[in-house]
Amino acid sequence: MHFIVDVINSLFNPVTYFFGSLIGFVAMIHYREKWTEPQLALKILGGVVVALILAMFNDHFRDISTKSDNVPIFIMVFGVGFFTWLSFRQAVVNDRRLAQGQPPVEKETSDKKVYVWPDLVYVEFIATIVAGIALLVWSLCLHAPLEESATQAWTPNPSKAPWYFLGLQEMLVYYDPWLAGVVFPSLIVVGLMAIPYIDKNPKGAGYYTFNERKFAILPFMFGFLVLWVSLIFLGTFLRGPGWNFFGPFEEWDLHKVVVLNNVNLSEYFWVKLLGFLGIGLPHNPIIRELPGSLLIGAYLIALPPWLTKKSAFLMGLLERMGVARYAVLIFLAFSMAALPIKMLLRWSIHLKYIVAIPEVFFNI
Amino acid sequence: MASRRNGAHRFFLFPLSALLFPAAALADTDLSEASSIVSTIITLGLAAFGVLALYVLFLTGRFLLAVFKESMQARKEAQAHAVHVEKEAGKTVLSAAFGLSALFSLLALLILFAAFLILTSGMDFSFNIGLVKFVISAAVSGFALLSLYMVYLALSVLWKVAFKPAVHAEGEPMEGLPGGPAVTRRSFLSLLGWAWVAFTAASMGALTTVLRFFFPNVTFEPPTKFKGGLPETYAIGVDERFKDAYRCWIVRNNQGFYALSTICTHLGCTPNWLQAEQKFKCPCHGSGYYITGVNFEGPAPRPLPRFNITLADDGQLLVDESVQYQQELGQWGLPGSFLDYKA
Amino acid sequence: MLEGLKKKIDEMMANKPSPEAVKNAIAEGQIWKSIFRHGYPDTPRNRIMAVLSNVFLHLHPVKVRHSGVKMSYTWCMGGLSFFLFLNLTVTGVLLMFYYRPTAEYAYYDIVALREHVPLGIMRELHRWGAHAMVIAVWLHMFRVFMTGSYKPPREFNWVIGVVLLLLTLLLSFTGYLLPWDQLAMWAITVGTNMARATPFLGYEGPGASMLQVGGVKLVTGGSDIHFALLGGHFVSEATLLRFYVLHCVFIPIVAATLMAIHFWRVRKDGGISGPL
Repeated sequence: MHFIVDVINSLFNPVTYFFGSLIGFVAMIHYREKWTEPQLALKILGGVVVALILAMFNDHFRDISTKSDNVPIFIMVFGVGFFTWLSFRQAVVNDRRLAQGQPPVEKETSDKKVYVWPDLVYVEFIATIVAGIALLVWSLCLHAPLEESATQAWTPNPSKAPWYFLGLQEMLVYYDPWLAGVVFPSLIVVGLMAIPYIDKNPKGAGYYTFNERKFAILPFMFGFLVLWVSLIFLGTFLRGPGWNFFGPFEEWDLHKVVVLNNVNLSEYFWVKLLGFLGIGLPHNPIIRELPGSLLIGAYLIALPPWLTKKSAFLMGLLERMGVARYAVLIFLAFSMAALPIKMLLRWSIHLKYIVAIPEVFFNI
Repeated sequence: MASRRNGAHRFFLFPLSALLFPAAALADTDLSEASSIVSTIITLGLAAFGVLALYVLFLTGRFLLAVFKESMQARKEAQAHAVHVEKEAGKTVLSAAFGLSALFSLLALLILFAAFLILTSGMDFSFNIGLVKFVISAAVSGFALLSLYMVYLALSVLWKVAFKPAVHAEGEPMEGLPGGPAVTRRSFLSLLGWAWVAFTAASMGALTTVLRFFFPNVTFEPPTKFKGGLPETYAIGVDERFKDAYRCWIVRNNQGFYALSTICTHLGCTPNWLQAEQKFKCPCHGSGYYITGVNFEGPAPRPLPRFNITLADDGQLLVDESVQYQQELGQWGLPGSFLDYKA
Repeated sequence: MLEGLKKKIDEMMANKPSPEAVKNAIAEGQIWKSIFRHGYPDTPRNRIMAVLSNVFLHLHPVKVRHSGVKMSYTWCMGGLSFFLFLNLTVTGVLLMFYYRPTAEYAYYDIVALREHVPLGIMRELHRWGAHAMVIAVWLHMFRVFMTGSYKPPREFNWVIGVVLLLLTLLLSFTGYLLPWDQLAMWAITVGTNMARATPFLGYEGPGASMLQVGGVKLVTGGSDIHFALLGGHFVSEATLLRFYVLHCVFIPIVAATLMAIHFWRVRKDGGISGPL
């Protein structure tokens, strides 16, 4: 038993977690025909529930899971899981029909009109009643959390943001607050707003489908499931005191020591790479951060046109979308990719900042 | 007809005089720290919107003047030649012009009043008060008079043209003043579109005044200056006695004292001093600092700032948190960042 | 006299009105008609009237696509988000009867709401309702995305929806501070400190130190966006009051207004989406 727990714990670290969720995502898309079958889906659900029940025997995991503010996360995770299944199930069914030249399922009833009273009003009414009862039961069973009275004198360890912001808090490990806390959230909002203006594909409006709009669904789902929901899960269950990473069944040790000595790119370049010249770190921040700035510039300005030229797919996209839409899309996509890229750099070469000018609070 | 110039350039003086506002705002900059940036930004923005609004106001006024003169001319001619008086012509445009002109006059007054409020409310009255106040008052009175004049103009034109009709054929462009650029009905209507843009922008600009409201001139926070007791009462190491009240660690080493902020430079949590490991460790995201305050692990972007520390007249330590020294700016060598003291 | 009355009652008992007749008597009566302006909605005409003549129901069209009322299509998440918003408004107003947003009382009022005030789950209904609303709004957006319902002519309503999503999160975030416990204090400290790092507007943001006039810094700890948000240099009583007003008055009004536009646009843009 202990052995299994230890193995599971040792399997968990930010790297395996991220790649695990990435592989899971790819598998989910690739095998969508299989797992959307109700039979298999029920088996998977059963497996997850059994695993969860088993996990609850672990004192530490039970403590965290039953913390009242963490209960919504289970509802959210199971909710997102169920509705991902529901939408993919309908998409798969519709895709099969479309492949055979039939219209989507929704088409069969969409031309028929029904009275709002009673058909729609009653659906709403029943949903309201069910939700109301669920909320009442939830409130009766579970106290809202209340810790001791607020004080500036000490900070509880760990201190976490409300759960729906834990994805952002996880970003803070890799990026400075001005990016992770201000620029990226703004880009998420702007990016979401831009979706209808970027996605000019006329197909797939008003019914579930995957094949007809792959290139809209894939980035959205990647952002929502891999970079948002799964990071919330990580932030809740796997981040402990000192924002250190812990396995799901690992006691949260206040004194866990993790080496967090990360190195700036400027140091890599001037000290480690050009160390033989003996110049050391230049004092002028502009010269010091030149390599990093050039790298960022290349990533945001030079790489997109170059890639577009090389790839026939991107070229086709550009022609179909027009320059303005394409530029916005690429900028948003590159911004989204910036998070996994920085994660990889951190894990592989312990990179702290690509550009670090703390004098003017400009760190990337 | 061909447009001719008159003394229209004189009217640009009005928009230009709006530049007085930024000037006044800059004079405002070393006020209580809370007010400076906001009043500067707001006032600059307001001035810009104000310029736009006033310019449209000016165009409207010029148009009304043109119509007025034309109608007077037409009336004279009508009287001289006993021509039939066309009642309806130009009425619609004129009512629109009247409404708009009145609206903008009121708006200009509102904006000026708002700007006046901002500038005076954030003001340190010991500073240069006479000049700034005079400039503001002069500007406000000037603009107010101009606005009132526009209202009068609009009213009189409406009265004379709409109710005492003038002569001109339907659809014929109304020519400008002799010596002024032609303003036709069509160009005036397209001007209306711009007027709405300016109106919206100006209203939004006026609403930004509310922003100033969020920067109180006085906050009820602990004083930033405190006495830390006699130096002899400190042992070598980190002292946490003022951590709760003043968010400050007083550290003593062999050379003397320095005062460190307890606010993590990452996201403002309060780090803990770990005696065994000789480091400050932040519980929120794991930033670690040496006893000197220099960061060495975790996401903290820079060292903890130090506060000004001196000896008071009575021999006690005196910490002033309003003066900070940042290592990355090379300020830890400055006097006041470190207190030389040897037992 | 009594005999006569008894006889009359017996007569009435003998020919009891059918339930149908009672219903008709009520639903065709003057009072009913004066309130609802139509009869019981079991005929096509009355069903149409039920929607058209009711201020709450006229949000809906008279008829909708059959595919659009199916739970498997809509998941009912938009409706539930609105229901949860109403729930939060009601429970929130009830909580306001006891809660004082001051550093001295806030925490103890929350304790009292649990320990002394009757129906001690009001705060639970509010808090869990808020969490549920965040989830419902996400799932609603997820559904709208998966059915491609943001496509023309519904682009702008999607944009309004994104703003509403943001407002939902802000409502939840501002409410997080109000219990004034350690959880609240530090979650808000961490959350609001990011404002310090806003480019140009926060005093620890990139570019802020460049905004100087004659050596005087324009963006300082007392004049930046972080200060405006907190009403001070750190989370304090002023912050509590600010968040209270934002939470109880400002954001709900903005959100309710946008919701009205959102619902109206659903109808104007052709009702619930469906395949062409």
